[in-house]
Amino acid sequence: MQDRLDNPNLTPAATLCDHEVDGSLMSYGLAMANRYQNRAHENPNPFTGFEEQPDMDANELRQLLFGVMGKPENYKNG
Amino acid sequence: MDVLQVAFLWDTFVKTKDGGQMKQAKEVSDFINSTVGLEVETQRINQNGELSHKAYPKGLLNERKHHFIKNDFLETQSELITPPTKTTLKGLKYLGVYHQALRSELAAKEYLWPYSMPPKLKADHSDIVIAQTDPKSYEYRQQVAKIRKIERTAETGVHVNIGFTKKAIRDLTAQDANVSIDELYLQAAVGFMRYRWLLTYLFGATPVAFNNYFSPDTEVPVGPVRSLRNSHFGFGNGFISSYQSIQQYVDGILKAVDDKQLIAQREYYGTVRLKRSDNVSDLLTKGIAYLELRIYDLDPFEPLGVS
Repeated sequence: MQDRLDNPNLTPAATLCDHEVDGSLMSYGLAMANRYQNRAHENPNPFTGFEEQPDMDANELRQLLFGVMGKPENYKNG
Repeated sequence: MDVLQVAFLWDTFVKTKDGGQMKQAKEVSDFINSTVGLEVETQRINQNGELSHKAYPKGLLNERKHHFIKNDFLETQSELITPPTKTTLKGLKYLGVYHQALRSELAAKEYLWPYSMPPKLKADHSDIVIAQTDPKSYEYRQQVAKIRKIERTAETGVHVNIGFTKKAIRDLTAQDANVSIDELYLQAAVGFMRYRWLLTYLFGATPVAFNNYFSPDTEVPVGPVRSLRNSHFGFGNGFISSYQSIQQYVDGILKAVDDKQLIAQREYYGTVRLKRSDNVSDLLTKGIAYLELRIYDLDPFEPLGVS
C-alpha cells in the first residue's frame, strides 16, 4: 500500500488507464472477464478448505448454493 | 481492494480519533481481527460487453431463498454475501466458492463484468431491467430508477461489514466498565468519513465510463478520475447524515426521508452506514452492531473483485 502512497501511477485507477485502447477500457475488461471465467472452469474443487469446517462443511455449503439436491458433479466440472 | 488493508485502516481510524487512553489499549489492535462480512456485487454481461439478456442462472438455488447469492438492484446484478468471519482469508474463501458457483451456472458466452461502472448500455437504457424480487423492494427500486438516473443503478461495488469480535468487546468492557462500544464505532465511522478521499485514492478503480452511461444532456468529467462511482457522477443522492452521535445520525436520515431527500431509509448511501437492522431507529435502543463501508470499487485486477 505504501507504494501507492508514494507513487500515484501505481494506484488502481492510474494502472487501469495504462490498459486503455482508443480511450476505452472495454477490450481490457472483456479480456479480464474471459480470463477469470476460464480460470474458474479450470478449478477442479472449489470446496477445498471446507471439508471439515466447524461452522459449515462442504456439503452444507453446496446445498445452500444449489438447493437440497446439490449439484456436485456439474459444479466440480465447472 | 485489499480487505486486510481495510482492517488495518479500521484499526488506524479508531486509534487516531481523540487520543484518549483507550486508543492505546492493546485490545484496539485486536480489531484487526474484527468480524468481517463482504457483499460483492457483479454484473452479468454478454461477449460484446453488454448487459446479459439471460435469465437468472437456473442451477442456483432460487435467488429469493438464497442466503449467499442474491439478485441486487437489477436482474443482471448478483450480490455475493459472505457470512461474518473472524479472518478475512475465510471470508475470501467463501467468496471464491460463490464466484465459482455463479460462474458455473452462467449461460454460454455469459461473463461477469470486472468493473464497477456498468458495461455498454443502450442509448434508451431499455436494457436495464429492475430485479423483481419481493414486491416491496421492487416498488422501491422502481421509485429510485424513476427519481434518480436508472443508468446509475447499474453500478456495482464492494461493501465491507466490519464489527468488533465478542472477545474485543469483552476485553474492552473488562478493562473499563464505562467504555462505550457505540462511541468506538462512531470514532471509526468518523475516521472513515474523514479519510474517504484517501480510500478513494488508494482503491478507486472507476476512472472512466462506458457507452451511454452519460446521457447527451448530462455533465461529463473532462478526463479520467480515481472513482467515478464515488463522485457526483456516480450512484447516490448526495445526502450525508451526521456521525457526531447515533441520535444525530438517525435524526438526519429520518428527516431526510420526511423531506423527500431520501426515498426511504434504505436509500442512505453514505460512505459508512451504522448498522443494526433495517430500521435505523433501532440504533438508538439497541446500539451499533457493525459498520458497513461502501466506498470500494471492484478491483478488476482480481477475479473476485477483492483481494
